[in-house]
Amino acid sequence: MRKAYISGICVMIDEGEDIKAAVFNEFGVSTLAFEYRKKKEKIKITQIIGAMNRWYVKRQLKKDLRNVMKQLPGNVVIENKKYELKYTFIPLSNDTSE
Amino acid sequence: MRHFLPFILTACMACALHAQHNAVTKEQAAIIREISAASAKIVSMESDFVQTKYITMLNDKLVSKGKIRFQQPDKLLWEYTTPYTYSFIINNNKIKIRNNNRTDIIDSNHNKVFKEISRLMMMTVRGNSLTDDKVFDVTVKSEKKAQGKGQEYQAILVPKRKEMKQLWNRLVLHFDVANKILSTIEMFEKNGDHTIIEMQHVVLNKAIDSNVFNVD
Repeated sequence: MRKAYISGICVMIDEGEDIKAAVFNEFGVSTLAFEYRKKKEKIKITQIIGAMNRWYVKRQLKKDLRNVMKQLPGNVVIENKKYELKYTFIPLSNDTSE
Repeated sequence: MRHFLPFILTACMACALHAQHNAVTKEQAAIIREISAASAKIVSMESDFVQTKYITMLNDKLVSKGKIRFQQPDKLLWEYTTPYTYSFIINNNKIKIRNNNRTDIIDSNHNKVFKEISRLMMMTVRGNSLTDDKVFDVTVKSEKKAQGKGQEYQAILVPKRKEMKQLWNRLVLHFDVANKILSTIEMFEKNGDHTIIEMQHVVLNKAIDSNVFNVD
């Protein structure tokens, strides 16, 4: 069994030059929020859950999320073998009726 | 006598304030007893729910719907049906997450976030979140319902444990006054996000197939 695991929903809003994203888990608890500057291909983490709020975690997260954002939309799987991290993004059906 | 009077007045005010504090506390204790007594009779629960998540950063909200099944003492199935299919099962310390074709099993003892969340969900559904003073500071009151129809009991829970404090500023539980059943859960996060979970069509103490809680 995994020791560290975050799963949930990632909601992204494309605002033209930037994409804003928020990740929250099954219970609705926010775990991560970030902005992606398309032109500069830079990630800015605006909010992160306490356990992950370490400078070295955020630094690596920014690098990995940049790679994720470059490959979206569609199914994205990124593996960071050095730190044994795996990111899996699976698009949900775009049901906006709610 | 001139010097005595301020002393007497101060003593009287102190007594009046003390008596008032006792009256409020007794009322709260009575409400908690009513809710706890009703919760103690719950062996199982099935419910539909509507979950609305207000996301401050995106200035938007996400509405999802699903079903809950609970079996005493420690089994919970939480299933989202729209706009996505997603479910997780808590069975003792094991958590099973199903998402499309993928299934993951987590030991909550090794995952602090899941451990605290599953603890909260179990305590809330079981009804002992109001009486475990090691976990929450609790204030209860009788209030008018938001829609203006009738009264409800509101319990405001402020986390005491460090792990829960990192997730929530406070939780507000709404109970129907007539049957003391949990009707709504509100979760207020430190970042300003706000989640509302409304229970609908609650069925109590109906037999539930234990296989639905299987995590193996």
